[in-house]
Amino acid sequence: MKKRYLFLITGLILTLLVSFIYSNQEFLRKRPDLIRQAEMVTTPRSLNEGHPWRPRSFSAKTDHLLVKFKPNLSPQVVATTLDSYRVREYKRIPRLNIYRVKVPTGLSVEEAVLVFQQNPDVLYAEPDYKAHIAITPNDTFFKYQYALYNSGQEIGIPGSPRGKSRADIKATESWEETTGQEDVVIAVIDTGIDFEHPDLKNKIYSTGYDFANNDPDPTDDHGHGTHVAGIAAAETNNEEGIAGVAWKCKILPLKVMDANGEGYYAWMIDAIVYATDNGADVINFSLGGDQPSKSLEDALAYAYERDVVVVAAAGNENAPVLYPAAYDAYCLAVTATDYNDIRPEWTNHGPEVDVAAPGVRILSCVPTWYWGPNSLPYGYGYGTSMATPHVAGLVALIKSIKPWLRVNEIMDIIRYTADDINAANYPGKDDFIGYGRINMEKALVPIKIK
Amino acid sequence: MKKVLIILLISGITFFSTAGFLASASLLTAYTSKINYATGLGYRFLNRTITWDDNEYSSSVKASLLTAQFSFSTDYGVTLTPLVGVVFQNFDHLVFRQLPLSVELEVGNMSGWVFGGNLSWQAIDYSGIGGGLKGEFLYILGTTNNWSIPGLAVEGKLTGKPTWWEARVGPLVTLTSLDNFTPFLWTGYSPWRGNFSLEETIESLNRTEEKELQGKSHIFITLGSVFNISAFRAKLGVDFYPGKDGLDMGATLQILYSF
Repeated sequence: MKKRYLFLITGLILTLLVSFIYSNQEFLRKRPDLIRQAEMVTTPRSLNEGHPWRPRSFSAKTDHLLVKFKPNLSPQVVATTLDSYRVREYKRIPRLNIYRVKVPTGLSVEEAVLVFQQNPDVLYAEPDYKAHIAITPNDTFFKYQYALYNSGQEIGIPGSPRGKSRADIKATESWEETTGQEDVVIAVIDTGIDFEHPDLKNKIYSTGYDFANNDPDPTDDHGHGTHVAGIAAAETNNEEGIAGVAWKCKILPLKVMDANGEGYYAWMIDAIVYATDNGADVINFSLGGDQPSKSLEDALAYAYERDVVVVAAAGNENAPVLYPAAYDAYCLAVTATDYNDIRPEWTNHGPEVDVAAPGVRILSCVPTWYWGPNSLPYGYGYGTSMATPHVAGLVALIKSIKPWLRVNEIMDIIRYTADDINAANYPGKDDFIGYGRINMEKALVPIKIK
Repeated sequence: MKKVLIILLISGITFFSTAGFLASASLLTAYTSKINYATGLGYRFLNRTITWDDNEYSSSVKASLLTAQFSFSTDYGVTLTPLVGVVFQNFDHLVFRQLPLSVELEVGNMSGWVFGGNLSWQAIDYSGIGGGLKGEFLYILGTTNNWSIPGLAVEGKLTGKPTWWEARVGPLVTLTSLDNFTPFLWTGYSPWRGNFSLEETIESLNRTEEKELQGKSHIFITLGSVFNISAFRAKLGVDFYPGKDGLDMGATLQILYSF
């Protein structure tokens, strides 16, 4: 019998010991009186509303609290109360009777919240969190990139037209969720790229290939490909130039157009196969032809079956959608909108159009030789060619955080999360902007279900 | 994980529910010829921090459990209390990132059923201090819920169902020297495990995420007291779940009528 008692008592002591070791040792050591107060609470509740005090909760390093006292307390009583807590600085927010209180010396924010919550005259106490705007890159010309964040600002030099506020693709909100992964590759099948450009030189996945001249140097001798690549994935937050949609994703340049901006379908087909076999996750086609081609369709199917998403421009002729964009089963066909969320009349249209993105007066990179010496290598571009890399960048970001998704799922995500900006005239999917202008926030950031 | 959950579920339900009634008879008669019966209602509120996606994220589960309880006790200090009831549970701020479109729940309370019970044994009573062991197992079967996904170009819907269980086991210390008033301290190990299945359907898009959840704290301390007023017995307790990052709390109220 004695052994049984000894066993039980030992077990009890050990359990209690382990319990307290597991609990917050530092917290207990500093303020055991707080634990005693907490035990006396009769209303069931969890400290910090049941959330652990994770670094994220207090990531803003706040040193102030917001404390609301009962309405019948006079300011003099509140002042006396705050003084008893050794609060040296506070400020009353009028009408709401909320006090912004500096955390007393010697207490952490968490401890101070707990202390105030125990006071029966306090309705609630909480950290005075720091808010922040959605991620805004520090690139010099970001303010002109209305496509990414449109505050209604002038869209160019002073005197330029102003855009409609939030007629944009909600890039800044989505960058809270991801800015991309370096192992996600955007193949830009175009006129090549300027490898010396300050916003692109660190973003090259591999040197790629020049199918127009059949050599391994796809240097841009036109300018179009460099502009397109910059929109999709320019180096971002580097305190110069512009921001790309997919900050961290890489570019695989493949040249299929010559200096005149022309190229054969065969070069495009070669480039699709090359991109698919060499690590591309998404292919950007800011080009096209008005003739169908079974060979081109077969090449697109080759990429599709290997989970490479192809994004292609609808075209700028106020005519039927170009190929390859018109191959609806394998391509996301992209048309353009402007800084007021209106589709320009020159965009191509048809049932193949999937989505729209800004394509009017889009600032991006141009080759360093383009404007001549002593000029900044940036310029404005127009067309569905400029709209398309916005979508390619979004595909790259989706691939970055959800690499398990199949190509058809990614295409559907982009379609279904678009904003139907012409719903007043054409509700639902239509031939002009498809499902609508892409919305990166809805496609990437968790949607709140209420 | 699923196997463990199923084994615990089966063993828990077997032990504490219907089969528990039968098992209790043989168990109790082994100790005494007299069995005391009581029945009543219980309410429990729990608020526990839960982690998910390999402990990368955390949120909380808040649940109110209203149960009907049936208690059998012997003169040898063994008490078995199977229970069954309803639960209202809140998993707000749980985020599903494996679905094609990520979603965060802010849907408020969801209903469900609770099954389980507890078994205690007061082994000693020395100089007004009682000592023993107590174990409790609760299994919560949530109902299926449907929600629509707002703001899409097409209709999208979610179908979700939570299930979870909680166990608490450890030594129980009581102060038995007071009349009609028995303070107690119960502490020990308390695992919490759950699963939230969420299916997303948006036209041809369809995927299901099975989110495995677990409690952040694995220990508990319950302080409370039992009040005896004629044939009625009321129990009040406050639960603490200390962890490295904070302290979760809950409460228990139980009123039983002995006959």
